[in-house]
Amino acid sequence: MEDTKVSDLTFLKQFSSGNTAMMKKLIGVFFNTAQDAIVKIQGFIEEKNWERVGSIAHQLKPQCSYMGIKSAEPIIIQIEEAKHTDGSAIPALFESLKAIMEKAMLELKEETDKLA
Amino acid sequence: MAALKKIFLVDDDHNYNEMLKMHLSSKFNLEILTFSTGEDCIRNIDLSPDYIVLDYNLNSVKTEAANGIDILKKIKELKPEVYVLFLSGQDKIEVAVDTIKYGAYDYVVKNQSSFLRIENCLVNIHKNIRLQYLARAYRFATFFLGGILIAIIILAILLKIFGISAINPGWV
Repeated sequence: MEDTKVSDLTFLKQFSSGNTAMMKKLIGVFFNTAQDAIVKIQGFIEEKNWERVGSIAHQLKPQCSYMGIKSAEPIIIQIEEAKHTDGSAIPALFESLKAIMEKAMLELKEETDKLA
Repeated sequence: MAALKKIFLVDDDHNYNEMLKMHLSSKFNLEILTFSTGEDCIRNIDLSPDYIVLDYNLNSVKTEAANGIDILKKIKELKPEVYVLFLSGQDKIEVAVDTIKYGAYDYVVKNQSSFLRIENCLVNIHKNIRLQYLARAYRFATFFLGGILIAIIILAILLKIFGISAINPGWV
C-alpha cells in the first residue's frame, strides 16, 4: 500500500522564499507547539476538561494549515465542536489526531534533515 | 523623517506571532512588538501603537487571560484611534460581526492566506490615512483660496464705492 504523506511544505517554502534557516526555525517552533499541545490535550482528556481540550486543539489548527497537514483540520474542528457535548467522542478523535501529528512530525523531521 | 509606525502582535500562538513578524518585517518598515496576552498589550498601550493585530482566543497559555473581544473593547476605550485587525482561527460570522461592532478595522481568519490579508489591510489603512490627509489639505486649500477670492471681491466693491480706479488710483 502506498504510504501517502500527511504534510506538505509548499506554503512554508513560499512563505520563507526558500530561506532554509527560516524554514527550519518555523518547523522547530511547530514541533515544540505540537508536542506541547499533544501532552496538554492528553492531560485534559484525563481530567475530562473538554473546554481546555477544545481550546488547545483550536491553537493547533492554523499550525497544521501552515505545515500542510490538511487531514488534521477536520478532526480539530470535530474536537472543537465536541467540547460542547458530553465529550465522549473526544478521546477517539484525539487518537486519530495524535496519529496524524506523529506521522507529520516524522515527515517534517526528514524534510528538516534534507534542508541541512 | 516620519516616525516609524508601531504595530503590536497579540497572540498566545508563539509560532503565529513569529511568522507574522517575519512576514511584516520583510514587507514594511515597522517597529513590531509581540505579546502573548491581551493584558500584556493593555499594559503597554501607552507606547502608542498605530496598529494592533489581535487574536480572539488568548487563553491557551494563561487560562484566566481575557478573550480578544474584551481586549478590543479596552483598547478602543483607551486608544480609539488605533487600527485593530482582529484574528481568529474560526470563521464564525457572529464573532466577525461582534469584532466590527466593537471597532475592529477588519476580521481575518487564521490560515495560509492570513499573512497576505493582514499585509493588504495595512496597505489599505495607509492609503486610507493618506486619502484623509489629502481630503483635509483639499478642504484647507479650498477654504484659503475662497477667502482670498472673497477678499478681492470685497476690495473691488469698496474701490468702486469710493470711486477709486484700480488702474489709476487718485493717490498716484
